[in-house]
Amino acid sequence: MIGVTVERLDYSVPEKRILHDIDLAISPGEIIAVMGMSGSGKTTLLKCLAGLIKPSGGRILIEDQDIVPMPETELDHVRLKIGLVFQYAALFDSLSVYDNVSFGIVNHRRIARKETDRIVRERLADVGMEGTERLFPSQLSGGMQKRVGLARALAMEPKILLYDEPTSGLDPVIAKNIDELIVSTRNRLGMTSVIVSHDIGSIFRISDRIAMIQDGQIVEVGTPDEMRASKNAAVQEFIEGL
Amino acid sequence: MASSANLLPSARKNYSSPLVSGSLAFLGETWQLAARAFAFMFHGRISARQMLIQMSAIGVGSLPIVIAITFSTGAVFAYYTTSVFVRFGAVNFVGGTLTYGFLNELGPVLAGVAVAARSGAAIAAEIGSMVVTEQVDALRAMAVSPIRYLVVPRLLACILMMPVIALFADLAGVFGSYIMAGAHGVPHQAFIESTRAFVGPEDLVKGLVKTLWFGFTIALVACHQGLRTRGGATGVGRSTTASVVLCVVFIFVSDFFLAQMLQGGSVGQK
Repeated sequence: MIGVTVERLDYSVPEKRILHDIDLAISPGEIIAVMGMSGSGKTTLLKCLAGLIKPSGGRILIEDQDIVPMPETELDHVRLKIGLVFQYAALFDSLSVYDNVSFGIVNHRRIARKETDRIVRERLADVGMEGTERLFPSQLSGGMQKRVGLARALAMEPKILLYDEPTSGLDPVIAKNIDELIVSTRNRLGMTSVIVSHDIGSIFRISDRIAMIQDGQIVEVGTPDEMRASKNAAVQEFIEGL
Repeated sequence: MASSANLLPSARKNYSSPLVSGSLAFLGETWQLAARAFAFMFHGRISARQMLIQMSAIGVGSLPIVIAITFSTGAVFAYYTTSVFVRFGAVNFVGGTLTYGFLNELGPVLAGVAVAARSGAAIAAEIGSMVVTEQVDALRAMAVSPIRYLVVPRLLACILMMPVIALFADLAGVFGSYIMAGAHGVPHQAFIESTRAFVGPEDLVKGLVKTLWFGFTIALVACHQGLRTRGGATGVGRSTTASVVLCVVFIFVSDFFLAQMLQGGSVGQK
């Protein structure tokens, strides 16, 4: 199991400072949720953790390796340990569900076709999408696309799984299924999970700890109970406002 | 937030930068993109499946439009040329003049423009859509280089297919000229004899060599514009338009220099 340590992380664009002095230590196997208003920097933080955005300063330590100064080729080795579930799934629309889920395997592992078939079948079963291998993303609903996106991330057996708004735009039943899936996946495979969301119900149901981000800064970190009892006005406003 | 800007070494931050610095940044970005694409090619990291898909899309898909354009242009070109040549009794020069012009210039350039408009636009729009829907980020998140997966197959397919498309363009254009010249008083035998007298295989080769450069330019510019797409559907539209405009301008400008280089002062000398 792998933990993640973020130290004094900064990310700025010419017009705006998006992340500011972020410090966060994520334990191996932990489910941590980052909550905050839209535009508070949650997704940017997630993309920094995945190495998709180069921070302006600070450190991100994954297995004691700082990924911030790494060139793209070196980052690729780290990315193989990280799975990212995108807010809108980001499935490759020219590829079938099978090709989407097997994409990472085909590109990085030399294994027999039968073995690939097995992994795809199992990962799709994990997310309740059996029998959809031949469909294309345009033939799936938003919720189904998200589940296939999760299957695609799981297929590479990542040590760290990053979720961007996993339940946004889903009906309550599907959202609850996704929540259960996140927890069961962690329990089964022991991966570290970082969830970015503003779905309070979901966050409090599944997280071991919660970090509140406001205007690019982490203003509070604690267990769900600690966050409920927090005196921080931003935290209380966010919890009660929803 | 689309984060594929990291792919482009020195992405410009906005379009309002001065013309000179903007142009220099564009040149820097495209050449670095080309260098990285060639590095993948030389290491043999090419997806044969993707390349075949692109060769089919660019080559087979472009042929009908290229043939329609060049056949019509050949016929129109012959319509005007023949009327003048016949008036001055120069019937024996019609076939040579038209075929020479088509093989050296019109066929390659018209094929280039048609491919830029059709396939270049499609490449920019497809990659641009992938950027704004985070599919390019998904590639990177899975440790697959978008340059290897998206740019290399399109670049190679475009370079390889352009001469083939241009060959069909030449054939269609000359055939259109032949038909129209015949309809306006140039005997078919005279057209063929004139072509034999004035045109050699090197004219065909010179024209086709140019199209290798056109193919490279079209794919590179289209991929670059696609990868630097920002701002949703509007951004995709902007990238697609920019790709077509830039490709057409580059084809005409580079054609001027290529013509000088390839002819080497021997215009019309068989």
